[in-house]
Amino acid sequence: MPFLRRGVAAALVLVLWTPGPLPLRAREETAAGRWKATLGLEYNFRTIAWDQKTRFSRLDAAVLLAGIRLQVIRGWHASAVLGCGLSDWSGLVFRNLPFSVDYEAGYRAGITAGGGLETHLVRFGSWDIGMAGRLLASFGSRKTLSLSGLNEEGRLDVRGRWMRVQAGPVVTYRSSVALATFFKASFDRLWGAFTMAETIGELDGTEEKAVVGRSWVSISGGLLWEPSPAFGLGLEGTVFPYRRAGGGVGLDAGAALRASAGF
Amino acid sequence: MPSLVKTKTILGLALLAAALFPSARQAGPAKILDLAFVPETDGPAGAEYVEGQILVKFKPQAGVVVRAASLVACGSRLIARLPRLDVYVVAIPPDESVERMVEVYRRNPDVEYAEPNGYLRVEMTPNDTLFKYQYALANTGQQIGSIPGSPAGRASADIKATSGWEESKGSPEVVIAVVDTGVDLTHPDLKNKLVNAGRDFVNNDLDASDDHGHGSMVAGIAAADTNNLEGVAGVAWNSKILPLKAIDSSGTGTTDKVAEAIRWAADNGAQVINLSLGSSLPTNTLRDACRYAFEKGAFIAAAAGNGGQAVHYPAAYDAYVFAVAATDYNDARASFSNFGPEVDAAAPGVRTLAPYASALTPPGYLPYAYGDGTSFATAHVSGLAALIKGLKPSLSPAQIMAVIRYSADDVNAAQAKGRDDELGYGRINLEEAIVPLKIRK
Repeated sequence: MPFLRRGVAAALVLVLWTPGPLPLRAREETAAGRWKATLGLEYNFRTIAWDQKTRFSRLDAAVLLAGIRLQVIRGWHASAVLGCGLSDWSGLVFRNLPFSVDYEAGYRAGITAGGGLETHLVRFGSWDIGMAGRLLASFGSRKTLSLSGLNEEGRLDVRGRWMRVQAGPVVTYRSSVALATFFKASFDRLWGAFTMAETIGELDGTEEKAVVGRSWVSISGGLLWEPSPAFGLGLEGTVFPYRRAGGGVGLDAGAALRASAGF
Repeated sequence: MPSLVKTKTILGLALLAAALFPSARQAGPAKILDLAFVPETDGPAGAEYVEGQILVKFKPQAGVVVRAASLVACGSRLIARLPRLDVYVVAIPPDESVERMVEVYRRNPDVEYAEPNGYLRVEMTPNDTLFKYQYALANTGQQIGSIPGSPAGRASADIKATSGWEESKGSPEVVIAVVDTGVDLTHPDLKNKLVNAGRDFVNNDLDASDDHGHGSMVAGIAAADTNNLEGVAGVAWNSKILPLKAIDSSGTGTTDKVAEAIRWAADNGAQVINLSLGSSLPTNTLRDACRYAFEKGAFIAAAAGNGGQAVHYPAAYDAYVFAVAATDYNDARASFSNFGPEVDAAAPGVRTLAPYASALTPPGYLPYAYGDGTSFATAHVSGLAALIKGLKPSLSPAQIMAVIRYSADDVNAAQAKGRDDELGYGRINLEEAIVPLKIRK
């Protein structure tokens, strides 16, 4: 299963190179073992390629993630998140099923989970440079859609899942005790698969679309507001540039709102 | 003794006399074009809209600066503005999909609507000069034939061919073997569609010329040369025909010859085998030949028969053969069509227009004829099977059978809802069978 293999590979990348996702840590935490609860809302749209990268559509995903963040040792933070997400795979076409299908069914819910690591590398006055990385996976949920209009009852069982891996440097500038701005440039890869099983009378067939995000990188910027060591709020905007086949650069985008509260 | 399925080929009157087309005969090809139909519009075959551009209408309150900024922000370029409609024809960035850019613009609060610049067609109408008489493919309620008193059909009582052709016109990789009386190898609507000269199992040679007329009609209905400004349209425009003569000039063949032809077809790459023939006598030899071809991956369509009685063989070999009944230009069952539990579906088989063997055509007549019979209904199904196979080569014969059954129109639902013994699942429907199902929110 390519999806699983990529997941394992991505996990290894994260273990070996341990950056983290959200520079939601403008204030330096000094005590190892300190926990924080996090809550995040993210939305991204990514152009995806499939059918041997000959066809393109778009994956829109909105996720609500609750999690914990722990300073495991001084300067190193690990995080884990779990939540639910909505993914819209509209635009995929299935031509190898007994009856061809154009999928335009909108958002489908699914469980989303992930984890990340981040660390400080260098600090110059108000500037801080670190590394951050994250793996986020949406496991989707099986959904059954009924087919009508044919002489036999029919149904489609659909399931979409995707995985996103980010890793890269984070530059943070603290303009005041409570406010910081940050900038990230990340390797940012998206893989996924959407499976459709068609059953109509005695007919059945299954077709899976392995998809990959067209962009390999993301550029993010945002603000961190931490009125107290126990509470933080972050806002982040992201663009995903990719090279168009015909030349020029295409842009996908996303945004995130995150909050943290210390114990 | 298997006998050729009875066909009421209405030669003479039914042969389309050149006199029916005086302008075409007298004034040459230019006048024939006057008789022809709306040609295809420009644009890639099957495409629904122009790639690389969309139509955008901004809200009236959006000023010129806002509009220009919106275009620039989306990497778009203005091609033209439709002044009376205040609609912009916009070129989207190369390599960006129309669907996505439409969505992007729709999310812009200054945009009233955005949409693809769709192609408009009078459906996929071929330019074959006699197409207008082929109610089986596109029934507009037209009179079927120009002879006074010719019947008129009911609009939409057809196999939805023009809609289906929007999705596919077939693949030249798909070969339809016509096991019949042979095929006119020189017919203008057939000669370019033949894999080769075929094989003659009656005279044991490699020249499957038609000395009866029936096989040419069947072959033409399934896959005549189409959009060639001449004659009729076939169901599978691009598929090839493998002529196999197993029936003699009297319209009679023997089990051994037909069985041999079926096996030969399967061994020589035929993915579809048309058997517009039948007998009330079951034979193991014929059944085994059908099973052999089926197991080699060939879809077999056979005529239910024309006696108004039980389904004939080989159509009645239910596990391996798709049995075809006949409907007319009103989507009613043809009175002669055999019936029984083996019937899978139906197709037009009354006054169906098809190529006729040139050598057998009387002087002064075009080499085309109207024919009645489940033979011709069967040829429509073979054409559809070829379209499906071309689109989905991985489908097995059993799966193709199911696709055709499930997509048929239950045209006699008022009398017998669901599958019945007269028309099976109903009259075949190309659009339902091959155009993708749209799964929307």
